[in-house]
Amino acid sequence: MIILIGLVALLVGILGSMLGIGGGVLLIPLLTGLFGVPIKTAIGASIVSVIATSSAAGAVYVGKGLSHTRLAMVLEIATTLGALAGGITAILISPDALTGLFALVLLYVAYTMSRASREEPVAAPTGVLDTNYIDPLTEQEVHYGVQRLPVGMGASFLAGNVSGLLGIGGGIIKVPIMTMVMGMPLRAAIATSNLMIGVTAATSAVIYYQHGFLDPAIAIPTALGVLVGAQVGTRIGGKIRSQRLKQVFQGLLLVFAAQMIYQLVMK
Amino acid sequence: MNNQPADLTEIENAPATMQDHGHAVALADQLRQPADDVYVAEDALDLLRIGDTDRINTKPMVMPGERRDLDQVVHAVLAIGLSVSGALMIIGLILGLILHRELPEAMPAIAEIPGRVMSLRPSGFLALGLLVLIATPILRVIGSIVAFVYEHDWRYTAITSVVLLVLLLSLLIGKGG
Repeated sequence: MIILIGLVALLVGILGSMLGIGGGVLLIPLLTGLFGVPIKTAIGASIVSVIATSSAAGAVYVGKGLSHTRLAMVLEIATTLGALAGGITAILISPDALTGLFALVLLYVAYTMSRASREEPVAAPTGVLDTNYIDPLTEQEVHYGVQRLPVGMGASFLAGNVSGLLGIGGGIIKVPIMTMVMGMPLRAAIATSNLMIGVTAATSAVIYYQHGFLDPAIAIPTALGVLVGAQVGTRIGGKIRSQRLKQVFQGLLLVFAAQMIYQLVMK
Repeated sequence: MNNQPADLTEIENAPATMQDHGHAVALADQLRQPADDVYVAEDALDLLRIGDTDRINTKPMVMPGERRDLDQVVHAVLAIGLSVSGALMIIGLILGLILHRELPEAMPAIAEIPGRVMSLRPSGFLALGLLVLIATPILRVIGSIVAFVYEHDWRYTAITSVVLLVLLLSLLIGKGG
């Protein structure tokens, strides 16, 4: 079983990293559906793998100077508070309610993926947290500032909340706000969001741990599998944004959402 | 990493574009950073030490911006934490699957972990690896606070301390929740 979980996590890691989407949205339905893991234990395993991938990606992005580390510190106040509230809520509410909420998030992610990701105009230095980085593709220096920080704080709290409650990273909520509302370049938004996810997930992981929802026999093969898979995925297809692959992923999300809703209705 | 040759003249030219002493120190520290060495946390902290100028000799790395010390600390903590926890978990899995065929059903209490590691029980290594993994982002926050203190950036010292406070809060009230 451990080896099987590791293999499934490996595949999720490859697919997720090729599409730039965290694995949590696939991991949790696979763990509950294929292996019969209780949803709270599955969320615990997912949150651990989220920490692992965020630390790995965060280290790379920070090393390249792509992450806006100071902005991350500011927004982390909101994400960790959100994760604290989300983690406690997850412990308290019924597994069925969690399953239902998770199905909704799956639908939301599938919807978000179908929108064309467009690059918004980047905010010129605004005087608020201005910074710069060197774009790895064009080797141009990009200067930008941050707008509408309060909106960013609100979105970060929500992202942290969903992360703590459902064991996903929350980048799917933060990155669109950071690019479309706060005026950050997409590359910097992804790098900064990734850095924040580790601390956010650690907040709720601590809560899950204390309540016995971290099962090493499930969490460890999951974390290692996703971690290795993400490395493989980045190597073989980091630049491929295949439309077909995206459709497969969306299809899986819809199937999982339907399966979870079916589970609830048939009870 | 972006390696550009640079030398002491960069420090002399630097204050024109920088706003205060802290930033000049930051640049000086960048110049001391060996470009392609794998460094450990102690070295990363050492780089932040102010007033130590006798090691400006290697091919330095100059990056744009004014936050490189901080990024180096964050990078070092994340990379080391991840490697250590990965190694512990792999040792635990190998011990468990090949030698003992015993795998833990639940996380052992923290107090039991050192004993289990000493007696080479897989559950000890797995639990310790998991804890190090969870602790890595928390250590990253603590490392950032230290970096901000060295830079005398009190505003960000305060902001990052609030994040640490929330993490501690989740340790405390997570139990009751």
